[in-house]
Parts: sequence; C-alpha cells; structure tokens
Amino acid sequence: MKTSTPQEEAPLLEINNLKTHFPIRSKIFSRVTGYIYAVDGVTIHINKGETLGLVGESGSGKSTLGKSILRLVEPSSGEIKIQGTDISKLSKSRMFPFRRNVQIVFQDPYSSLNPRIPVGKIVSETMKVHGIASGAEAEEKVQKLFERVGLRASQTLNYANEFSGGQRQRIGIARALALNPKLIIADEPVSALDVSVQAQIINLFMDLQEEFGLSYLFIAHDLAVVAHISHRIAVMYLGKIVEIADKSKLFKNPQHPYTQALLSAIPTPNPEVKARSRELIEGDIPSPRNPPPGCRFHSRCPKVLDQCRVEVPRMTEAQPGHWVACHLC
Amino acid sequence: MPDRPILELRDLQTNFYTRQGVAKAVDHVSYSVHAGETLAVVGESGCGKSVTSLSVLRLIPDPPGKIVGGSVLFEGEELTEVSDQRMREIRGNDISMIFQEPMSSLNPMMTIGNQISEALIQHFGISKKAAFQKAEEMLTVVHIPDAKKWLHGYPHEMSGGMCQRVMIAMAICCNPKILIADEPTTALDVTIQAQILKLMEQLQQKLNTAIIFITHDLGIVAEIAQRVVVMYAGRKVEESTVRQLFAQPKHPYTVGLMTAVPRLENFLEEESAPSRLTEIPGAVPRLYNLPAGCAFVNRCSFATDQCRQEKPPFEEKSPGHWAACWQEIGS
Repeated sequence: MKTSTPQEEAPLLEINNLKTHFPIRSKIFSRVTGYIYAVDGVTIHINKGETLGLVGESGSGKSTLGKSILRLVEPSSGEIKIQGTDISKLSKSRMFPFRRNVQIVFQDPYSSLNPRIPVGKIVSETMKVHGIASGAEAEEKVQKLFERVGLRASQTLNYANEFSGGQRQRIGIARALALNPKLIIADEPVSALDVSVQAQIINLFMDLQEEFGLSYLFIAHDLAVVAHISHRIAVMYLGKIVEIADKSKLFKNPQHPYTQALLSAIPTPNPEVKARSRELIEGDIPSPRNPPPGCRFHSRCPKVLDQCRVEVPRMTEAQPGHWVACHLC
Repeated sequence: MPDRPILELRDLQTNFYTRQGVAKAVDHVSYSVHAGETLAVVGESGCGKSVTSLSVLRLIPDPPGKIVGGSVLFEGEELTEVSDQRMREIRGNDISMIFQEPMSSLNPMMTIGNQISEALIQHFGISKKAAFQKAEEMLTVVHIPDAKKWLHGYPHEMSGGMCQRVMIAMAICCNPKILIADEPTTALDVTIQAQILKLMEQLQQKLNTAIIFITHDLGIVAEIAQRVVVMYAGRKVEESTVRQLFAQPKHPYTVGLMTAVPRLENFLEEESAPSRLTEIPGAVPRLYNLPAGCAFVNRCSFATDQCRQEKPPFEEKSPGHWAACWQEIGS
C-alpha cells in the first residue's frame, strides 16, 4: 500500500461556510416555494489521522453534511477543500480523481449492498472504475481486504443476504478501503448493530486508522460511541455547528446549553448515581424548513435571553481549541 | 412490596416451527413482577426477550409459533388457558404494551383520536364523545401540546417522539396493571428518550403500574429498573436486583455486555487517546442450531469442556442473585 506524501500542515479536509439547501417545490408548476435549510453554514476541518465525531439529533443535518462533502448531494454554496483543492465546483470529470480520496460507509448495511451481485464484485467494481486493478489482480486484492476486515477470502463469492448485519458492515468497510482513501465518512456505521457486534466494528475502525493513517468523519447520534472513537467532537443542531472541541474538553466542560442537555440526557450505566438531577429539554427539534430566527436552539433552551431570539450567535473560541456559538458563553 | 407478584411466568416455552427446524425462542423462562415495580429484560436481538412478552399476551402468530409449555399467571389466572374472549378483555385493559417502532405501530389511516378511543369504547362501553374527551385528557397527560387539535391528526403528521407518546397514551388509557414496554425509546433521540422515560416513571408512581421494560441499553436499566433479567438465545442467563447486577455480574455474557459499551465517564478523566473496546467475539447463534451445552459457549472466554457438554443449571450464586453458568464469575 503506497500513500502519497501527506502535507503535514494543511488539514486533509477543510470546509468553509458550507450550505446545502433543498428546494421545496409546489405541486402544480414545480415553483420553488421555500427551502429546507439542512446544512446552513458549516465550517470544520479534519487533520490527517484524526477522527472528528459529529453528533446531533435526527433532523440536525449531520448525514446531509457527510453526503455534501462527497457531493452525493450538491451543496448550494461554500468550499470543500481536500488537501487544499476546492472540489465543490469541479466538473464531474475533474472531480473524479478526488473521489478515491474520500469514501463513505453507510448506516444501513441491509440496503447499501446490491443483493444481486457477489459481495466480492461489489468491492472490486470500485477498483475497476478507478483503474486501480482488474481481473485476477483485483480479485486477489479483494480477498486480502476481506481478510483484513475480518471475513474469509472464500466469502467474496457469496451474496449480501448470506451475511449478518455486522458482517455486511465489514463488507461496506472493505468497499470503502478498496480505493485506499485518505478520509472515510462513516454515517452512523454501528447504530443498526447489536452492542456486542458494535464493539467489534468500532475496534475495526480504530485498527484500520492506525494501520493506514486514515482520517474519519464519524457521524452518530450515540454520544458514548462517538466519544470513544473521536479525537475532536462537533455538535450539530438544525444545520449549524453549535460547539466543537477536543473530546475531553467537550465532556468535562460543555459550554453550549444544547451540548449540556445532550450529555445529561444519556442514561448512565451505574445504578448508584441514579438520583442525579437532569436538565431535560422540552419539545422536539423544529423543522429545518422554518428554523427559528436568532439562535436556532432558543425555542428549547432553558437559559434563553432576549438577544438569542433575534441575533444569530457567532462561533467564538471560548478556550484554545474550544469553539462555541452561544450568546451566553 | 406485596408478597404475591401480579404477573408470574413459570417455565414458559414458545417454539417456532420453521423449515430449518424448531427454534426454541423462549426456552423455560420464568420471571415475575410486582405492582409498582419495574423489571428490565435485557438482551440482544434474537435472544427471545420480545417473544416472551408477546407470549404473555398470546400475540404469537400460530403457525409458525406456539406456546408449548409452562404457565403465565396474571393475578392467579392462567393466561395460557383462558378463552380468546377473556384474553381480549385482558389485553389493553389489564396488560398493555408499547412497541418499539412508534411510526409503524400506529394505523396510518386512522386519526389519533379514533385510535385512542377505540380501546376505551371496547373496554368500557362508553360513547364516542366521552371516549374522545378521555382521549384528549390522555394526550395532555403525555405532554402533547394542542391535544384537541391532534385528536383529528394522523400519525404521519407527528414526529417519532410524539408518536411514541401517543402509543403510551393508548397503552395507559385503561389504567393497566401491567405495562410491557418493548424497546420503547430505541428509535428515538436521547433528548426525547429522556422525556419518555421520565413520563413513564411519573405514570408508574401515579397508577402503581408494574412495568416490564425490554431493552438492550444497560444505561436505561440502571436508571429505571429495580430488578433485571438477562436473556441469551431464548434462555434466562442471569437475574438479580439492578444494584447486584452492576456491582458484580455473574454471567460472562452480562460482563461482556457491560464492557462492550463505551462509557462516557471514562472520557472525563484525562486527555485519553482512543482505546479498544472489549468485544464479544462472534455473533448470537441461530436458535434452531444451538450448542449442546451452554448457548454462550462459542463466544465465552471461560468456556470448559463441561460448558460444551452440559447445560448449566440456573442457580442462586449469592442471595437473590441467580445465574446459569458453570464457572464462578466475579466472586
């Protein structure tokens, strides 16, 4: 496995003010009547060999952000720089060589593998398309990959339905690895798995990172899982990042009321600390079609000020490396 | 706590007859629950925790499933033998259930008001108008804003958390003595999960309901239950109070479940680099092809020849703490 020399200083992935808005069209004349503000001005970066965890409730736009980076959904504006090159506006053919650098592992291992093709071929197909290997050479590479992710080489001939959920997720990981990428976007890769299998897959992700120097954008709603695998964590709410910090800083000293609420909502597997008081937030996440003005969290925030209702809080560095978007901090 | 449990399962056995063979989905399972108590049933998918509770309500599709042995005593009444007519009276009225997927457990063609009042009209024989009034009350109890408006709404207009609150409203509208909650918060976000758990706790205090809470999340177990049953491959492998279980798990599977889950408090300590989790190797075995001895033997690091050949008895390892394991774990 050869890797090109990495640029140590510049981050591997840099996203500046990325917006992905989905138009809502009227039924009769397909006129655009509004937008879903799924991702609304996100700025993050990921360094080489680093895992950035992305957490948030369903509807916060974290999956859309992941897919926008790959341009599986087209972003509306903003920059996506991979090793310094902005790929957000490249044409399909100019974009192509960059695709092998960034791969994705999907959430649902049951629907993300073609049921009619042997799983080995699913993996070798990407190699063929990108001109890495074909024929017997590709076959051999796929077998090695299968063994690396904890499957048997002979299983490349089987079909997806013959595998359990955990095994399918291993196939998904093998497919992502086939192009020798630098960054893998993992979109809720363990949330469909049982706890005992979940630990196996998390460990596999961590081993592969060490072996190949991979970077991850690890998207999940389970904070404990994200905390385990990540170096830094970004918290997303209604299309915006509200807090981003090193893992330990975020857990020791969460600044944003939303992060605090998320942390206190997680049940602790220790009956002795049962009587802990929790700060419950009321209600559901609002619709991204009509996000509340001002701070998007103000409609559920227990510490809301008048200012929060009108003025959008800006990201500020509360402590070195600890960024938060809140008027109170 | 009263001496007699409100619900008692004794050696319950439910089989599924499939083309691949007979799957013993519930294999001699016994547990009991008292009024006002919360019992947690823990295990991964395929361990039989849901089928056990469906067997209690006789909701197992027959064929392929069948309750082949054991008994279910509800206030002394043998539920496996009562008539279908009597069973219908009990379901929803005395024992009700909340299912895992709130979005797919509600009827998409019926308004929320009709769905809730259906049970009320059925069990109490009240008029539709009175039932709707009661339904509105119930929606307010489960914190749905604008309850009156939502009576005429449909499930697809609601979020997952709201649907689950409607499910709870339906489940408690007849003041059941037992509430079976089958992974009621698994499909929900943590903030909504916390709301639902708090709501269930409040309702239990008010109505003195017995709750059987089926989950795979040990964090929830620690938070809401008093006693816990751990199941694996259709069998009960451990039973104790929640405190005992977390202080000293006695079955290797329980130990595995506890160490396989990342814990948040570990990250408060220092600037820790990511570390490996302890995994349980392999996967849950197929139910129609179980090992001869202990069902967990192929994934267990303590396994001996005895474990491979003989089924371990379910025995009291320390006062009030039962486990099915040949080895002495955690003593």
